[in-house]
Amino acid sequence: MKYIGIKILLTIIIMSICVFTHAQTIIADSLNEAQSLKTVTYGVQHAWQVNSSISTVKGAELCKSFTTNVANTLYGRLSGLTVQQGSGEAGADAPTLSSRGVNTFGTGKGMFIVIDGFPSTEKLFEQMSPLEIESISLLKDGSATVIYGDRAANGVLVVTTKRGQISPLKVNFSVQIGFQQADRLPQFLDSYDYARLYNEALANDGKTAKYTQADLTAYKNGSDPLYHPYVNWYQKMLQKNSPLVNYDFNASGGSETIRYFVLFNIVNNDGIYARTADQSQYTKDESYSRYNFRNNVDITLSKNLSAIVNLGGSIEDKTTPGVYETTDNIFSLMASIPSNAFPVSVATNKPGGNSLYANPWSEITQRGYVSTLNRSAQASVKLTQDLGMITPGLNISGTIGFNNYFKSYSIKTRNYERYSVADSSGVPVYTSYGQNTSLVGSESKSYQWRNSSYQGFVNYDRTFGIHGIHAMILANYDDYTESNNYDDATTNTILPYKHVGMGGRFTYSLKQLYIAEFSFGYTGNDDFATGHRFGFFPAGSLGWVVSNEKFLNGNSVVNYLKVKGSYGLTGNGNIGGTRFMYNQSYNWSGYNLGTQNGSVSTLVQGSLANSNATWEKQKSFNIGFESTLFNSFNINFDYFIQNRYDILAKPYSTVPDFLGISLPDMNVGKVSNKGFEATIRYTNNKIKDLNYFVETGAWLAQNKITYNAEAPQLYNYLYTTGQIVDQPFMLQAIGFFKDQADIDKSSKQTFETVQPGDLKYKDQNGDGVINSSDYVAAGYTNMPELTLSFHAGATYKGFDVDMLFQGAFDRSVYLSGSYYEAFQDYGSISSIALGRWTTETASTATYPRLSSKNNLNNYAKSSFWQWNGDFIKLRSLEIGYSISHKISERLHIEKIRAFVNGTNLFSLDHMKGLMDPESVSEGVGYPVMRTISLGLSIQL
Amino acid sequence: MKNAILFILSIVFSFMITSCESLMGNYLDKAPGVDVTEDTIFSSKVQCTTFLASIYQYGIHSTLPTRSGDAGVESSNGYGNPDPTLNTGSCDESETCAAWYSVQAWNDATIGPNLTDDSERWAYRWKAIRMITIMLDRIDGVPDMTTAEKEQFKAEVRVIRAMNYLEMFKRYGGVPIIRRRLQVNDNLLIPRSSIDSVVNFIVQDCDESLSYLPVNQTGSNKGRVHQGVALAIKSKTLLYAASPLFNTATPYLDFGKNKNLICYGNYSIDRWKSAAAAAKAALDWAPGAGCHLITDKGADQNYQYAWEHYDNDEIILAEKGYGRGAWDWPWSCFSAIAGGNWGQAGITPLLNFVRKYEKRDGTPETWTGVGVTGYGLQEKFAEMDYRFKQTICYNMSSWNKDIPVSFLYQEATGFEGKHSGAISTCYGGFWLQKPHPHIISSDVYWYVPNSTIFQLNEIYLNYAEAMNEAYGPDADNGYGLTSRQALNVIRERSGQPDVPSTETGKDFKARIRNEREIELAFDNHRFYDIRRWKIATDVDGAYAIMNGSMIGIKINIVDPAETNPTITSAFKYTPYVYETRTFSTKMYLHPFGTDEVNKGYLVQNPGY
Repeated sequence: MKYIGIKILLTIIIMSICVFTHAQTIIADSLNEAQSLKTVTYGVQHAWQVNSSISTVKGAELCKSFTTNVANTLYGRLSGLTVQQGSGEAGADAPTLSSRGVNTFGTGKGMFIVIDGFPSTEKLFEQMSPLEIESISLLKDGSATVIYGDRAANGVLVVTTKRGQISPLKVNFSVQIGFQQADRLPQFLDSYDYARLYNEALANDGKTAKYTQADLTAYKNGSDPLYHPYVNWYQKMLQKNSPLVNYDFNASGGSETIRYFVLFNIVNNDGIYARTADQSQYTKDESYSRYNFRNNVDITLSKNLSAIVNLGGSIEDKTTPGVYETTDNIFSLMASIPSNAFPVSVATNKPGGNSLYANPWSEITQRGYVSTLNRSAQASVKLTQDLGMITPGLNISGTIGFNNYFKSYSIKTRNYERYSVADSSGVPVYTSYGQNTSLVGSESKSYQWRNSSYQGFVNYDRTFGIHGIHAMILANYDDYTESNNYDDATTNTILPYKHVGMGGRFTYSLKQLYIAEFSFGYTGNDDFATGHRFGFFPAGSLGWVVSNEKFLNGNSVVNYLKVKGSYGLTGNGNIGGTRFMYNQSYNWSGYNLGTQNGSVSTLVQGSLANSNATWEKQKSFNIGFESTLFNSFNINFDYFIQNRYDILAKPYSTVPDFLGISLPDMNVGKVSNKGFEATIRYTNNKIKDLNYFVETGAWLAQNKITYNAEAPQLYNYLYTTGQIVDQPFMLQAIGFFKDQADIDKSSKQTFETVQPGDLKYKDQNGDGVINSSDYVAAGYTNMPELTLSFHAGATYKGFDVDMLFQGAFDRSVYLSGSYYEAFQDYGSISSIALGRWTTETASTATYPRLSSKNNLNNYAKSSFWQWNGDFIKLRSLEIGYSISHKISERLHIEKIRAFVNGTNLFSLDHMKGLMDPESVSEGVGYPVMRTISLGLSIQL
Repeated sequence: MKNAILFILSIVFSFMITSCESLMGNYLDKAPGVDVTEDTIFSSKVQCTTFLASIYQYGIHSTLPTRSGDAGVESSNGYGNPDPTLNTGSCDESETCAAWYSVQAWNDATIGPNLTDDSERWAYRWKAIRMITIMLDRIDGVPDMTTAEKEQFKAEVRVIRAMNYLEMFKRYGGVPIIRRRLQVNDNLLIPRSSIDSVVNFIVQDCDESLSYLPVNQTGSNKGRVHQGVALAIKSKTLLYAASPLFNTATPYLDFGKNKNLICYGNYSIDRWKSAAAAAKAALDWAPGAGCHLITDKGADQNYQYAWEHYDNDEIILAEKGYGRGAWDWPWSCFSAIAGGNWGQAGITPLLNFVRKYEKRDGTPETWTGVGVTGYGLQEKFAEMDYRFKQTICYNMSSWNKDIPVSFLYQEATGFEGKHSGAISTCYGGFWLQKPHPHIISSDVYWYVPNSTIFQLNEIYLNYAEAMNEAYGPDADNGYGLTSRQALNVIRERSGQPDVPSTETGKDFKARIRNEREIELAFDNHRFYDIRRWKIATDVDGAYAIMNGSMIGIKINIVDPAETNPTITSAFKYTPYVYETRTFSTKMYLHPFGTDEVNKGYLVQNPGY
């Protein structure tokens, strides 16, 4: 953390240079920040009215990142939003989204997602196309979110779709065609290195060599591919480029009475596997495609009555060769097999393999395939009745929304026979594993959920002279029902999740100078006992538009300045544990009795009921300002303190086991989270033909567990209280053992008999023994505490350019698994192990001595394997050219633009080229992808 | 939709005049479900029987190694770490080849409050005991049960409680006695009770239950408690209580004023007499219950039949497990050749143990010293006590149908996984055959473990030991069976000659202990017998018990060039020290876990 100041300072210095370089060229022309509209809970307000902390990104910006999942366009784009990348596999590439970092150690860390005013889910959001999104707003502080009551505390992401305007018909076509490449693939050593180093590992373990000199020679010159094979599975299994295509058609326009926006979008990605369907009759090619449609209509039914009808949806088809819905298992298989284990095939129609490892190529060509079909639909209707006849500024409205998601599976599976081969006096002898079976289909799995919402509003918005009043009251109820027969339809006992509540917002403004707001949510959650179901969540905020004061009126430096602060109480009803904790649970189970070991039912009391279970609560404090200076700079800053309490934890660590029953978790945990968001944007549109902007942002969220009911520990450093949420604990590696004398004089390491070249750990408690009591908190978690963004764009005549860098700092990654742990679990060895410790390289070694068997000392969880996970990535770069209006007009085309786009182009990090810094903790799965594409858009 | 709007509007306009919760709360009521309460359980015999089964599930634990959670219900589908209750690898019987088994902690004296081997079952036992108190509280209110049925249920659960206290007594010494259902807000700082109180509590539960229990259980009730179980628990408890660890004035380590938690504080020969009487009562119960030693399968088969065939007449109580594949717990644990590549490293008996098998003429087998190559290995195997072949997987023995010959010699390296690919981990030179039925093979790969908890042969040996200590080898105290006679019953059924009538005193006591070691091998007795006899640090030449050299043999094919005249077969062996173990005196009892001690009610056992 000590570098944060430096990083921030650096950002400020760079921006200051911009200020002074360009200050002279600035010509007064308000950017009109104050009058722009901001999305707030259930509505919009002018920016000057809003005291809350809200950041917004336009849909058009999201299109600068070309991916199959809209959530992957958000890196660095929303101030305060931390986005953590997952797998690169289309259809399974959802990142983790967090508002202001993590505020709880409970299980419910996810944000509340609202699409067009209705409670929704991350999945539904991820199914959307960026092209149908008008804007995405992140509501961060208590004042912004409080109306959502017990669903507000983790922040709220509000997605607004595009709507038609009063204008002639506008038609857009666009097509974007690109190629994806793996950002990085693991580097495993070839057979010669494998064999040579395996012998070294055996020697280290005091065993005789397995590979003779003849073996090594055969590996080296590749003369004997049957008995001394070398297979680079990544080369065999993957194609260099996989195509990614997006086609879009949308149209909008309308009149006073009816306005519309319609969209049809297709995105298609063929994945990274080599084509498999033409290799085998048992499989299909990997593919992913999604079709999105949307039809948003605004109708003015009469002078006072208007209606909105929204209809959106998607169809997602995904086919994966093999037996799983995603390909992670194949990637981990590829990462485990020693490169000399077996050839791809040992003879015609005899795939290689052994008792330990299946054949990856056969796994995708011979095992069948899994197709999934996802459908989502969002439909809503809203009616608004203007009650101006009663009193001006009053209206009421009611909405009904219905979301649905359905996923069905079509699975075809079979097994295949694989062979190992041994040389028996020149004659190959085959040993087979597994059996060839015929393809069997299963179409029975499915998963679905739906949610329906009903809302009613009364709005009052009126100005009396210098007094402005804005008031809103709403009531809502919604439910969410999920069902699946993924495993077994009969075990499905899921009950709907129901919420009911009301909320309101009252904003008073004086002379557009002072703004005071009170808002509240009063929400009920069916997870809790009668009497504990409803909670009242209030928030208040104050704002002062300093620039509207007389002394700043017309000031050429400060064009707009608003200072604001808010304080509120919000909740998080997604507390984890079992549902309906207020009910005493009894679980059915079984036991065997009788000579036939017949099963009899048993009934066991679950944890004691907790009738007082309640939601987590959070007190949020936010203070900040927003400003426009020199008519060119927008500077926004927010500082927040969020104190979460009533987090579910186990407080009964002092109750003896002889009580004989598990006690319920109680709402006792506490986490505090502090940080800031700052953005500076410089816009210049004053130079002839050249417009450009530079924007940089930094956001920081540092959390700390302030109370977690923990069992008494022998040493203070073993407590998680005082640490970051999910803080990793590990041994502290302090180098390699130099020699036996070093081992003898060091504390005894109990995991395994150690020898020179093994990792040496620090004896934290000085008891002379290294064991589980010597684990200490180390490094950071995967989630960066600090995100930096740098966004710049320019247009010059027909050209435009836009780029976005995202930086993540104060995060750690942990290397584990077969890619990093040489020879463990009979596995492979990768380039990381080349720096291994040997007696000759003792002083320069970067990796412990090799071991042919599982080494519980060197691969124990330790700081040796925890690396700095900071990175800076160029998330998107787009260069476009629009044909001059004169030419396009002749073609009766409003606008033609061609562009080239790069997404995830490069990363600066500490991973030494081994692995993408974000996917390192996901295991060696589907790689993060880099995309380069060409596009053309035509507007008629 | 119209209704919805009306609903919404009505809510909006009622906001000021009515309480929201009373208006909207019903909407949040839980939909009707299938919830069970304690009242439901005690509303009928059917439900109550279900609850009884839960007590068995939590209260009776397999003596075989199991996956985490198998002992109870909670994570029975999980593939967690094994529950390391099989303590054979913690004593001179064998070595468990996987370094990560927590029983290894007994071998280098790292066992301690942070590394116990009993944490999971410790919790299950207390759960069972709570359920037992609930059953005793509530069963009288069940409407459709007769008094006799109720009394039998009560008796069964009390015996299960006694069994759990016995398991805790033999591990920890005195533990808290919990007689009633505790609530969270009760005073929970209940201290450990003395050895005397715990033993009396166990005996009382057995005695008071006896008359309400059926003589034996049959058919679909096999696996449930009967009179024999109560008598066996009492016999074992009193035998342990009379043993040197507890039946002494001075505890194994100084424990100040708390010494009655780990020993009686005096020696009394009456405790041996009580133990003898309790064993006699169990022996007397057997004929009437159809329980007898297996003697009709032939001297070379009787022993194996008794552990291999489920519900045979020698078994008093067996825990009834779930079916498991050959690759799975517990089957894969005994030998790396059976487990193949499934990740279980196997259990390898040590020469420290194997050398205790007598020859079939009753004289000791001879083995060469450490580092000295001996010959005629297969001939030795052939002349040893029949029980050797029935217990141990040795070089060239038949494991099962798939592995008719077990190649355990060093030159056999390279039979990839199938036969002896894991010869490098066969430290002792043997694998463990005993709990692994021969029938499990590629044809019968799914097999149900029945783990024997009490077997009649144990009672004979309990009797022989207690009688000898109380009255000497050849006095019958009017019981009609002397110590020597009881011992010979066990020997005879496996074809071993009677103990010479001239053998008395120390030699006879050693003979009893050796017989117990051979007969009850790998049944989870030896580790606890060593402790109650306080012999952990004894050594016999190079061979240690729990402190010192653990010796295995390396088997090699005899080179034709070797012309030693004593060479009579193809294999030679060389004993070598596989590892040196450390026993710390504190290890005579288990440590309580740190978390539990930190709660403030338990006095930790001395030395930890």
